[in-house]
Amino acid sequence: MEFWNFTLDIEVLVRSSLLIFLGIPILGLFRKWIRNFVTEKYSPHYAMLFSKIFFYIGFTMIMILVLHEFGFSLGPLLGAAGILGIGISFASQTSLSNIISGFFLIGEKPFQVGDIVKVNDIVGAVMSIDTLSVKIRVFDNHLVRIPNETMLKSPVTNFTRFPIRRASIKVSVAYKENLDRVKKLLTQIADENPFVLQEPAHAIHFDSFNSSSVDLVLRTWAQKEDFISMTTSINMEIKKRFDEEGIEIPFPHVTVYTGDVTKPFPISMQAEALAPAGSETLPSKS
Amino acid sequence: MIWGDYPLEIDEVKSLSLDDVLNVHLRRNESEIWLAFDRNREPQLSINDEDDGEDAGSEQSAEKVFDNTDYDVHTVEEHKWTRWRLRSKKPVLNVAPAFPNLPFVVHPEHNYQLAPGAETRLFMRIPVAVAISDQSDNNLKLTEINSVEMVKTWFGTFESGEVCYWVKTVASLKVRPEMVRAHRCYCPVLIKNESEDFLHIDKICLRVERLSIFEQDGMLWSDQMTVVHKGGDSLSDLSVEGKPPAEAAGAKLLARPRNPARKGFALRTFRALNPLPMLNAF
Repeated sequence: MEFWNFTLDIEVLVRSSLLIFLGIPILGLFRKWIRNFVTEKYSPHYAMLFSKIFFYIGFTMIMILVLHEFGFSLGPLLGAAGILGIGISFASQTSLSNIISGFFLIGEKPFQVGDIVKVNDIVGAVMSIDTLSVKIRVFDNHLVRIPNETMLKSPVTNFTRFPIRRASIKVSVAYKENLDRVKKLLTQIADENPFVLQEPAHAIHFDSFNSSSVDLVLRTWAQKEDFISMTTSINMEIKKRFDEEGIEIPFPHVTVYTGDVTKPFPISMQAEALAPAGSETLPSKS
Repeated sequence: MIWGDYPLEIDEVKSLSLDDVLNVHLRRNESEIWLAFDRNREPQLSINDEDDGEDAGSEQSAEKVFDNTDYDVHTVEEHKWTRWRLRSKKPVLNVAPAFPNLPFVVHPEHNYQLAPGAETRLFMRIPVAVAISDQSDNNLKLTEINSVEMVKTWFGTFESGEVCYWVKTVASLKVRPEMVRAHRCYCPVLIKNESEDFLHIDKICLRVERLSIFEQDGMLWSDQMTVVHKGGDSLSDLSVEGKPPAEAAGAKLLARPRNPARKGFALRTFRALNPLPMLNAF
């Protein structure tokens, strides 16, 4: 078969087709197997990395073999690719920066696939660490793509690196309350909560004399997966128990004083109606 | 004693009470088994380590301890039932004790110091779980219910470790009849200090998954675990006898270990968290 000046051999065509239509699916199967195997043996983080490296190397080799079948010599091709590469690298500095940052992220391993992280006020689970970006699924089920360079430059908080986490729950009570009693009640609440770990032991600290309240901080520990359940249930229980025990959780108060006089202004509501519009005189008070 | 087989007829309801702390309800209809449970608060014993040398007054009679009186099943809230569709046409439910699925960090009421070269044998009282299985279907396990609400704790470092159940118990040198409870298993632990320093025991991680449960006269026993401490923060050598302790010779085996012990295994047993400086200050 002859097209323009190029003679197409049927045998070459069959071999190339086999390479493409069998090689790529087989590559995909191996990629899947590697991903499962490494996930099981090591972690999803390495599974993603190894499966991608395997697939890209395999794909490149298949393409080289196909080109070779068609009689392309690799020498001039690589030379052309080198010249082209210089041009492309100038044009795609950002992309290259992201690729290199990606290698640093994988090497340093500040987080792994599945970790809950916070980057620039974005909190979510890491879905994948790709060549150019990290994909994060935030908790309202949006996908956020963050370039690797940004990830490397920004402070990243990893909430799930360590197995246990501490919650600091601020508790405000009125000045009139007996703090020993409040402390005892908070200890009881922490002791009875099923998510609170007995060790590391919980602690109650005095925080501050606030404008309307005395603030205490209850610090408790939980397994990372129980953290939200613990903070929610403790806060709910504090409100319930404080209500039952008559302990006041104050809202901001403003007390007005007249100079040296120590008692605040007495304020009472007046029930008098305003005079109707247009009337000349106000109703007289007797 | 509630341990044993329960062949349920259609529309039969059975309620079992373990030591007045756990009530398990079984129900059968044409094609399904229904299970539910509720708990009562465990009464506190006013006995401590100091009573070891004397016969403390009986707090609860043995007859009361092994009570399994029927419980009013109508008090079970509807949403607490779980439905089970089983393979066997006529299931026979087996109720057996089991150790809960996590190790226990046992905190003796008083700190214990063991001199170099010395050994001691302590009895720990560990709350068991109730394991329910279908005996007619090759003991197909349905569920496990802890007899009491468990408190969790962390055993390890801040970077790695394991979650355990926490139990504060009397580490007694002998078995005291007044402390026998149907929902607690007596676990004898032989501790040998082969280090050159005093061994300070303020908590012990008891790997209950390695222990069997035996029963004799309504009392639950585990096989004896031997812990050999070699010093420092290193792991302790553990071994398990696999037979009832001398105090319960001839006891009947009720449950095999969840994870049988291999020969010559070593695990962290005595030291838990190395406190971070100013742990809760910031």
